[in-house]
Amino acid sequence: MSATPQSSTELDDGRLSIEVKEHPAQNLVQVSLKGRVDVFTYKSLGDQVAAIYNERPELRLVLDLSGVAFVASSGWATFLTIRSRLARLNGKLVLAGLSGELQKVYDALNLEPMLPRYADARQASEALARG
Amino acid sequence: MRSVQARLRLEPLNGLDAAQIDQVHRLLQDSFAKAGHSTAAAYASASVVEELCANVLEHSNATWLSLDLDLHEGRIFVRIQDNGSAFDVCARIRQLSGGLAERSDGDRQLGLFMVRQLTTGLQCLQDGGINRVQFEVKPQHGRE
Repeated sequence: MSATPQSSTELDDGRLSIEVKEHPAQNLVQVSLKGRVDVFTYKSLGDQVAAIYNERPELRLVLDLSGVAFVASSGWATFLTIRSRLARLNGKLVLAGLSGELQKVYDALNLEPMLPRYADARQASEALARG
Repeated sequence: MRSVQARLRLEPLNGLDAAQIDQVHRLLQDSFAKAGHSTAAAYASASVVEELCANVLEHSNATWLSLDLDLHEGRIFVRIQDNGSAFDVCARIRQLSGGLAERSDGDRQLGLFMVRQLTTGLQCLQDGGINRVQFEVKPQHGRE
């Protein structure tokens, strides 16, 4: 799957960085996060991702969390908001690359039905590309 | 696994302050490392403690907050106290029903849902202008 790196952005004094890779042929975007998704970064993250999916019907978005050290409740809530807004545009959000620690909280919150996850971004992208 | 007790007092409070939240995380990381707890235990505890501390810093107008951590025989006990306006976390959590998938307001209540899912024995007390929240991190998150 060919990708064109589009942008890399640091948010909130480097607390979180975002790298966006477009896969235009599949109408798929991979957003890789590095740092912390917490009460200080969730708004900026939501805004950055909204700028990607706005007015793009049927967009498939992979949120790669392999570089994320911590997700607070505000971060999980942001993922759910992104998922809802994408769904309104017939799009889809999946997560990838959760660490073991992150996975335990994800399981405790029973997020699987709402936010499907894959072992890594490649598997997630391939699954979404297959439809 | 060693027993460790640790305490942090934040004063004065400056609203939602990244440096103060980072102090909370450092205390948790150092204490769990000393006690030999798993990183999963530290992570689950940090998720709940950040949620509750951030609520106090952002909404309560408290001038101080204290965090007490007691790691003993593989169990994790946490107590958070502040002198802000009372927010009864326990009452709010009792009002939650079902899982996130069944809730229309799921993402808005996620912080409380997280506290409910990751803790046991949650108690909320108010005495003499001091609010106290104490709980144990659920064993499946406290141990490997």
